[in-house]
Amino acid sequence: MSDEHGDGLRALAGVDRLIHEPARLAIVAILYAVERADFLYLLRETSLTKGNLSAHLARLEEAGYVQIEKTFRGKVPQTICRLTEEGRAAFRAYRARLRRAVDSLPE
Amino acid sequence: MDRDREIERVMQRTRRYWYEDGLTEMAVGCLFLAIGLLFLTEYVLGSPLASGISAVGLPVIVVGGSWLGRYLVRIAKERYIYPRTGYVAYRRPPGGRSRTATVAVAVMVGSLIGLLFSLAPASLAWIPALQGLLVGGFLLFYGYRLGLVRFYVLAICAVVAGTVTSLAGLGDLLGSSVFFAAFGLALLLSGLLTLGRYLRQTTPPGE
Repeated sequence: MSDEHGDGLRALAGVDRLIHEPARLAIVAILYAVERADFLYLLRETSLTKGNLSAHLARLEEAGYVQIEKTFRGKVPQTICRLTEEGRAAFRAYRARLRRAVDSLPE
Repeated sequence: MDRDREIERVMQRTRRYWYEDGLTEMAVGCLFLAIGLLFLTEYVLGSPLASGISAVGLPVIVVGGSWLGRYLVRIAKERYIYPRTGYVAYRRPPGGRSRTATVAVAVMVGSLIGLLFSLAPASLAWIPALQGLLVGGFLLFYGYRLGLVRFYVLAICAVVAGTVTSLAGLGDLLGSSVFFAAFGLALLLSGLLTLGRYLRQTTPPGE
């Protein structure tokens, strides 16, 4: 195994598993592109059920990657989600690791 | 690199969401129509007073119209779009990058206008073509960045409208008026069609 290939595998093994999960990766990618988004937008874009989306958001909030704010739009309750600076840094690191791993794979 | 491409696609779709209802196009279309009408008024009246009104009116329309357009688009989105498909607020581009881009565009536009005026009066007939190129370039950039095919079509319309107006020999003032009015109508139509499609394809949650 070449050094470069080995580095790639190590990079792949070290990816942030919390972000690597496909549903959470979609949530984080959406929130990375915006300042904030509400629960309804995330629900439509990820096609998850309400329960699943809530569970994934709770995991991300626990890790300090997402900040969740419950508010009202008129009389309608609204859940606003945003990526924290820690979450943004984790997502950037995740993408960098993923690219490094893929770039080092043999053709 | 499928996963990275998928991430990029998700982020691009999120950025594109702002334009999926056509409201912004309609607002910009109205702004272009107002500019076209202002130039037409100046052309029809043809007096130094009309030039003065135009000189004052253009910045008022551009600044005031942009503010009013943003305000109305925000109100419409809060009332009709966010309850259907969700609320999103976008990050402002970093100050330095935004300033650099603004200065680069201003320098490019200034140089082109300077060149046209230095070759006046014959070159002034090409002002609508220049306007079409600038608007088309802007739309091409956004179409590529957001993956919006209809922006490519609008970009081609802008370039064609500007070039045809210039070739028709209408002059700078009437030509600009025709270009802004025609392209404003095109934007308005595109926005209306997009809004119609959005409303047909989406339903508020719970329906």
